[in-house]
Amino acid sequence: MKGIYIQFFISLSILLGFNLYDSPYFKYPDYFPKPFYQFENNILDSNKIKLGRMLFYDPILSSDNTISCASCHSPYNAFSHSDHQLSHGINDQIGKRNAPALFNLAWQKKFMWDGSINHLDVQPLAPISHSKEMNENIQNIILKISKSNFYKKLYNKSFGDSLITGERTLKALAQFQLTLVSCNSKFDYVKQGINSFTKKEKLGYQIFLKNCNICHQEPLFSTYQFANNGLTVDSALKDYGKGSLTMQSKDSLLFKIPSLRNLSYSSPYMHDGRFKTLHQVINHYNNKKYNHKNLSPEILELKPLNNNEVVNLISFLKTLDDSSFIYNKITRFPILLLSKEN
Amino acid sequence: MKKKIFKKWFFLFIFSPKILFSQFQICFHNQFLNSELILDKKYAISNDSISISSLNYYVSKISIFNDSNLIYEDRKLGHLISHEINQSPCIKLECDQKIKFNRISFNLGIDSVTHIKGVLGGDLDPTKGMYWTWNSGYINFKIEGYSSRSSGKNHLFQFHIGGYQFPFNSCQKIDLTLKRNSTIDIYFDVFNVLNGINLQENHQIMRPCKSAVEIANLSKNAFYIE
Repeated sequence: MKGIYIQFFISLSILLGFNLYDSPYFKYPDYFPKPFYQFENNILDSNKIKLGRMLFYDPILSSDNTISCASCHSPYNAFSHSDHQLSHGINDQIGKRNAPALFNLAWQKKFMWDGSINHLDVQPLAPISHSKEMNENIQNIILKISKSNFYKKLYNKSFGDSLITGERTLKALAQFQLTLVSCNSKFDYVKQGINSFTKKEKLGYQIFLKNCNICHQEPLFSTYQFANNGLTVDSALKDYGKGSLTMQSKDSLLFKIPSLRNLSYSSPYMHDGRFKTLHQVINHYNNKKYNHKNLSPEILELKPLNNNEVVNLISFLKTLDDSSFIYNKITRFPILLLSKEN
Repeated sequence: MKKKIFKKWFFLFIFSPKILFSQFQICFHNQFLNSELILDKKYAISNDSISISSLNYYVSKISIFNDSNLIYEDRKLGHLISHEINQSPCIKLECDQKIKFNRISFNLGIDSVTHIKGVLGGDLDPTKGMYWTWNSGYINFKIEGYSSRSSGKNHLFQFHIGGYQFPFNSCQKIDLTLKRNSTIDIYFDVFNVLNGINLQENHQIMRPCKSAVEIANLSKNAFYIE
């Protein structure tokens, strides 16, 4: 009998050990800028990160308990959703925008393609409440979580008591998402002097610096500002980006500039996922068929690239893929979630 | 031994904040035409019939002055005044009663600095139903009800007044002159707000916009001291 207990204890601790990760929780190279997120208001803690990870992968956040954050933000797609141009929510409903990849969030000030969300902590409220995404509300989520002994234990470990509030839930979700740092691509190793570019990649890097770096600034490969890149308006979606939100013409068709890291994993591209390949994206900038009034001036400066240049540019862009981020065991689905009751 | 106990009590006495600072209250009285607001009661007024089903608002940055000298500043980032939960809610402040004061100022709503702090707890927890999920920001002032003038469905009206960014910042600073008292009673007459709105044309606002700022302005002027 005793032996069974010991065996159980050992297997449990292995299981727990597999999911428990100690410091450092947030590491980034010295050539990255200082993160924007104010960690002093939400000090990273292994228990809170773990709680946030459970919540991120738990469909309890949706009204019919079928959709989790990870449904549209899969770790294997750099926390975006491949094969879906637009987000895919409850009851097979389709949302309005392409689920963006999630990484290096601590450096971002505004969230969503239109910048409607002003802080990482409160971002989850948007997909949670969207009728075509998770169709739930935070009040009901708190009621559901409060009934779960699994979560009571995790909240107790994280916050010192088992009180479950909106603030605690969102802070834990933010903590997990803050740990999604992607900084181990070939580009990073070249930057650190432990690898070097091929000839093609080097040429591609020159093209990138000349044409793309203004908006997709290294080392994050985005300024995370908002720009009108000249895409025609989809007649079905009628999405004017930031303009739809502020109703101001100067904001018309402004969308958040995405990072160019992890592009191999995060197709399709653009706010409505209209482009499946990088060739299509580069063709869009090459063709220069724009008729928007408030087009970002940088777009007009672009010189069309020839086929060779396109190939070289894509070779460089592929050096921004970070496979260690994609296959990171500490951010993928937590096995412990399977032990949750019901 | 006795001396030691005496010392202990003496120090407790000296450092007990309750003795130095007595609790001091600010009470909000929500009114409809100068009498206490009763939710869902039909108020018959000239060529209209109005009832209020929900009234909630945030009060923040409470400051007490003696002339122009700041005497006391509330550290809490916001207090939710909910007429459904409490009809005459009072905010307790740890304030020295001996000090003279003659003026109070507070915000109706949450200021833009607090708005970008990320998720907050207590009265500011997003579960309180006063936080927009699709466009970050607190609903500073929420009033819902019925008016025979409203052209909305079933003659209902819904005003969720928020917005913290230029040009649609709806947070309003209210400044009132006081008589010295142990409690401060502040009255808020929602009739004065609704009376300023053309409910026939405007029965629903749920986003930061020009009309939201206009209603915020009306709300600002509906606070008074008796």
